[in-house]
Amino acid sequence: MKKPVRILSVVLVFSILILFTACGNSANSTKSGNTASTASTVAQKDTSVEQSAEKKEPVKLKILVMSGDESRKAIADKFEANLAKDLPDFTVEVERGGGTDDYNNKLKTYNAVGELPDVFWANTVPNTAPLIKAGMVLDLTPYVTKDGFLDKYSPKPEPWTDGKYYVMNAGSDEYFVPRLFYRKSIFDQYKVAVPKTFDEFMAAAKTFKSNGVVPLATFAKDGWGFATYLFQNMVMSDNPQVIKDLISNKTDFSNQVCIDAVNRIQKMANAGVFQPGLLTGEYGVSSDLFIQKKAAMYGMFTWAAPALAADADVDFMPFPQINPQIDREKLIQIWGGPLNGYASSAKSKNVDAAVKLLEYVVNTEGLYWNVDQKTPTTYSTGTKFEGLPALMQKHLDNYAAADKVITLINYAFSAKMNTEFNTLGQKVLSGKYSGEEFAKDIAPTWADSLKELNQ
Amino acid sequence: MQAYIRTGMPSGKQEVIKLMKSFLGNKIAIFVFVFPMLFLFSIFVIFPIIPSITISLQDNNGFTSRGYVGLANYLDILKDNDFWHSNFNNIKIILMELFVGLPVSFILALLLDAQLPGIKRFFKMSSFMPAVLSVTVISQMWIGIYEPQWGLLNSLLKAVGLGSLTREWLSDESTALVSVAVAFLWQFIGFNMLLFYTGLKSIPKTYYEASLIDGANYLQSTIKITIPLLQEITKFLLLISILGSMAQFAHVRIMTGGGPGGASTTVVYYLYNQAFTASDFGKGSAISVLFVIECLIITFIINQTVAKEKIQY
Repeated sequence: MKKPVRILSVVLVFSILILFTACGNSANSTKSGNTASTASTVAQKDTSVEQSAEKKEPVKLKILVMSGDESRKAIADKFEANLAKDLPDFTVEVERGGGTDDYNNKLKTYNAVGELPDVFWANTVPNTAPLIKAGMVLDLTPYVTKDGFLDKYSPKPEPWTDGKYYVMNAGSDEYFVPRLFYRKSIFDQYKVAVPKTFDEFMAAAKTFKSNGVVPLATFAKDGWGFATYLFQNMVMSDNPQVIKDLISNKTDFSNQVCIDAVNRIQKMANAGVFQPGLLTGEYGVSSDLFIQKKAAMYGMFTWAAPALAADADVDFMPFPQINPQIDREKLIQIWGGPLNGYASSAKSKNVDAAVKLLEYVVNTEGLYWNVDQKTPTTYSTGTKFEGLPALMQKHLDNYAAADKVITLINYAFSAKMNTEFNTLGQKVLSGKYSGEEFAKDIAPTWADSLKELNQ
Repeated sequence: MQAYIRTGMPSGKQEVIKLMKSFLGNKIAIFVFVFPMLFLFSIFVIFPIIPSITISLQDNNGFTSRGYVGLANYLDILKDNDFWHSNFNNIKIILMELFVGLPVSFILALLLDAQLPGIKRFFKMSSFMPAVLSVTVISQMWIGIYEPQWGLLNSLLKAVGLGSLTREWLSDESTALVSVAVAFLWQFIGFNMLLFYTGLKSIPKTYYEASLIDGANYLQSTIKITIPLLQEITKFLLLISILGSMAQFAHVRIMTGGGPGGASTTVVYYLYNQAFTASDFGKGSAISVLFVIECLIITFIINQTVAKEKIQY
């Protein structure tokens, strides 16, 4: 009996070993396996075979893009549709990295295994600065200055703190401004004048709420709305210098202007200014409330404007004034900030080709914003903006007339500070958390953040 | 025929048992059969713990390590109120599982056992469905139920004149965690019920017949016979339920994102937040090591206290 068992044991062990050997692979074959398995690989057209005496192998490149929202998906679609036609010498694998969190995790994983894609989306300072510090990101300066790519920007983008360019984007972010969109018909129906001050805003909200209309719809899951525009604009309406002082470490969140700003947001939450389910609702829920005329106002960045522009009932107003000396018509916040855009891996095997691909995707994205979305970019695609819808034209006119433009404060935060800012922002929006508590709780993380970024 | 009469089973079956006994007595054979599972377990479970321990001793942002910091990450966590808060939330979920989830599953199993065969078949099948459905589907369904304006829960409360109890279940600090826990418990109540039901079926009917002759009522026979004889199943359910509650992540991620303001954050969600959102992999790994220790302690306590001795009547 023992003999067959032994034979069986040996056979099983060998079977398992063979099985694992078959599952494994060499580094090269894994790489090619990945390429083949990705559905979005763009094949190169084989049109130059007859013309070329010696057959030239196409350069294989990989690009990792964000694909969390409709715009990013549409841009990725454009890459996939046109890359083979526009860059026939390259075979480019386009990988969609998902939304912010998924994307960041994917990028970290690629970096951890030493396989950063040739071109990838660099997603804000906390995620990109460590890569630059580790020497993983290609210095684009010699390339973009030599081939004149940098000259296509107006105004030219700011380089990173060491004076070098690591990231290039289409510059649409510079034009994304948080706006308070509103429905003229709802304001007319309840005989509410467009509010200019915070008190008028709260009075208008009270009227809408008492009539069963959501005063202000916005997206605030995970504290997003608080962290990206509500806090900052509340501070800016009082004293914009405080935002600049925060960024330059001349003040902190215990500044009375910051505390008052948080308290005003808390007051809004407690007065029922926002839609029910604010903290758990998805992005689409807030926009749908406004589109379906169930909300009088909609707080969102102007990337939402092209979709709203077709509706003549929609307009936007400046953020409510707190300090009478501040003219909110001429003071705007923008989404744009440093280290947001396409970067190239310093370890790419085809650096020149990677830079070419990077410049191509920036141009393609620029065309998407300029042509498809009728949104300007600081990178010029040569598109002329004529016959824009009234809402878009008003946005551009307002943008051009602004004499103070302040970038998103979060770019001055470490990743940990960003998380804490969002988490505490959620608490504020729940209505049970004051500005004083916020200032106290954020202080240690803010101190760590400054220390980390100064390092 | 002779063998069948003597032992109560066919001689072919005896041969099989004899063969199995000799086979299972062979240590090498056992090792060979267990080896693939042990190998995969080592590769995918044991091995990843080693780099986690290493990273937990580093200042690591997920992109690069900025050197070893000793036990600083552990000390930070132990002083971190959010970590203890997330542990406290885990304890709340475990208590709900112990005092609501498992008792309800047990009662449902008793009810199922008393049904007609056709009804039994239907409920056995349907009660298992939530357990095999995707967490995303379950979470989205419960998000719909909790929706403050048109959700089922608030609509029902309004319909029965309890409108004053309506609230934003997932956005309210006082109800967010309980709301998520209810969704989690609901998903696995059917699964737990079936395990209890399987245990009920393994109890010989003669015990109940004897108790009936002795004059015991249903409650007495349940307490004196059913519950003690289900101790092995109960132990298993305690283990998977408590460890499952501790590892709660997906429902929290989808339904509340740990909010509002960390009110529904569990330990694993806090770990994820530290590592992947705040880019502090050192602290995240330290939390994971502490979490493994917590789980081992709980497993040890359950093994030492529940069903230590086999009950026989």
